[in-house]
Amino acid sequence: MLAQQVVNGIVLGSIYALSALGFTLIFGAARLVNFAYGEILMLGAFFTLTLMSALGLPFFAALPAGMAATALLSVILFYLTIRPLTRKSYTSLQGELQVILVTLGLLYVLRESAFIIWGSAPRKIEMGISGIVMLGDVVLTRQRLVVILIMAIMVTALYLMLYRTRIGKALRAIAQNREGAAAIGLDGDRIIAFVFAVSGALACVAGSLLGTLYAVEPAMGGAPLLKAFVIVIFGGLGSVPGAIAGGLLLGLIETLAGAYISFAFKDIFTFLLLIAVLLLRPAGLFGRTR
Amino acid sequence: MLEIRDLEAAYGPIVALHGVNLTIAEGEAITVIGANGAGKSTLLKTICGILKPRSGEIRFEGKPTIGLSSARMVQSGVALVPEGRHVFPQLTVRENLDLGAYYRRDHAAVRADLEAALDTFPILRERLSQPGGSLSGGQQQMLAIARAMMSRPRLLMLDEPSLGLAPAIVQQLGRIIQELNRGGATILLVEQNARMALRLAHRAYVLATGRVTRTGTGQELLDDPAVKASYLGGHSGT
Ligand SMILES: Nc1ncnc2c1ncn2[C@@H]1O[C@H](COP(=O)(O)OP(=O)(O)O)[C@@H](O)[C@H]1O
Ligand SMILES: [Mg+2]
Repeated sequence: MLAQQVVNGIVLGSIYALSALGFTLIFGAARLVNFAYGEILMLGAFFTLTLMSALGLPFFAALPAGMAATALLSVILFYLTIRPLTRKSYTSLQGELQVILVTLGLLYVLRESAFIIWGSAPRKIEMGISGIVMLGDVVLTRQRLVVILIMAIMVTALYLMLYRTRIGKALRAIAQNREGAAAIGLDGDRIIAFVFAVSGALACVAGSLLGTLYAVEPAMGGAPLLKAFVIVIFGGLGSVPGAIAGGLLLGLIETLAGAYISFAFKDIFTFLLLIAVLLLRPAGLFGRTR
Repeated sequence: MLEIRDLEAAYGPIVALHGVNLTIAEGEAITVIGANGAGKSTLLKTICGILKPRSGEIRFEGKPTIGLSSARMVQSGVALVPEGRHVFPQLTVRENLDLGAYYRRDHAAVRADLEAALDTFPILRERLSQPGGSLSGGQQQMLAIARAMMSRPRLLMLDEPSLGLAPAIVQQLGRIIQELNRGGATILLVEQNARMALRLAHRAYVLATGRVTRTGTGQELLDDPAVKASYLGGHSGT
C-alpha cells in the first residue's frame, strides 16, 4: 500500500512543516536558535486543550484563541528574556551563546511549569470530526484531511504575510541581509517581536494538531524541536520553502521507512539522509551559500 | 547638528574607539579617513544606534541619542550606507528602495523622493524590477545610497562607498555625494582611499587606532605631508 503510506507521510509531514516554519522564521529574522521552541509548541497545545475543557469551546474556536495566547506568551518571553541580552551585546559570539543558554534554561522552566499546572498524564485533543474519505483505495480519516487543510491554510497565510504586507517585506529583507537591515533601522524590537508572535502561533497549531493525532503532555516538545532542527538543516537555515519541503520530506521518510524497513529504526533513516544532504549540499536543499 | 564627545566603544575586551571628539554643523560635508581597523565603521555604527558605546556623549540636533535603537535613529533623520553596500539580494531594486522609506507615513512625498532618487541614479530606473543581487558592484553602491536617501535623512553617513570600485565610478560617486550635500543633506563620509573624500570635504578628521590624530579643512589635509605619506599613496586619483 504505497499510496496509503504516502498519504500518511504527508499528514505527519504537514505537522512537521508547521513546527519547522515557526523555528526557521525566528532563525531567519533574529539569527537566533530558540531551544525553548518545542516547549512553546507544547504550551500551545495545552492552551487549546484547556480552552476546550474549561470553556467547552469546540476545537475550531479554541485553536485560534490558543494561537493568540501562544503568540502573546512568545512575545512576552522575547521581551523578558532575549531582548535584554541582545540590547547589550555587540553581535558577538558571547552574545549568541548567552541567548542559547537563556533559551535552554527557558526550556526547562516551561516544561516544569506545565508539569506543575497540568500534570504528566497524556491527554488527547478531540477535533470533533469523524468519518473517513476514500481516495481510490486509500483510506483517509476526515480528521487527517483537516490536518493537511490547516497546514495549507497556514502556509498560504504565511506567504501572504511575507509577500503582500509591509512588515513581511521587512522580514524578508532582514533574513537576506542583517547588516543592510540594521543600516536602515529594520532590526527594531517591534519587527522581531512580531516574528516571535507569528512563530508562537505556528507552534500552537503544530502542537494542537499533534495533540489530536497523538497526545498532549509536558514532555511532548522535545521531539518536535529536534525534528525542526533536522528540517531546517535539510531545507536551509531560515528558508521558508525549505521548511515546508523539508517537513513534508521528513514525514514521508519516517512513514515509509517505518512501514517498509523497520518501525523501531525509522529515525536512523532520517539522520542518514541528513548526513547525505550535508555532504552533498552543505547549505541545505534550499539554502544559499553566503 | 552632530556633537560627539569622548566617545569610547569596545567589542568585549577590544577597545575600538578611545575618546573620539567630532562635530558636524548643518549642511557640512565631513570626511573621516583612517586605515583598515582604525575604528571608522565602529564610529558610524555607534552614531546610528547599531552599537552601544561604553561611554561618551552623542547629540543629534541637540538631543542625546545614546541608547536609541537604529530604528529610532532612522526616524529621527540619520541614515547609514553600510560598508560593503549590503543591498537585499533577492528583493527587487524597487523593494530595496521602498524599505528605505519603511518608517515614513508621508506617502506622496515618498513617491516624489523615489522619482528624485531615480533621476539621480538613472541606472536604477532601468533595473527597478530586477533583484538587487543582480546589479554590478557600482550599481549596488548606488542602490545602497538611494535606499538610505529614501528615509529622507538630514545626516547621511557613508562607510567606504568607493571600496572595490573602478576609478571612473568613484569619480561619479564623488560628484553625486557632492550634489546630495548641495541639495541640503549633511554628509559624514568615511574612506580609506582619501583623495576623492578629502576633495569634497569641508572639513576632515584623521582617525588612527581609535583616536582622532589630525583635523583640518579638506585642502589642509590633502597638502599635509604626513597625510600624503599615509593615506594618499599612489597616483590612482581615488
Ligand atoms: N564585531 C567585532 N568584534 C570584535 N572586534 C571588532 C568587531 N568589529 C570590529 N572590531 C575591531 O575593532 C577595531 C575597529 O574596527 P572597524 O571600526 O571596523 O575599523 P575600520 O572600519 O576603520 O576598518 C578593529 O581592531 C577591529 O578588529
Ligand atoms: Mg570599516
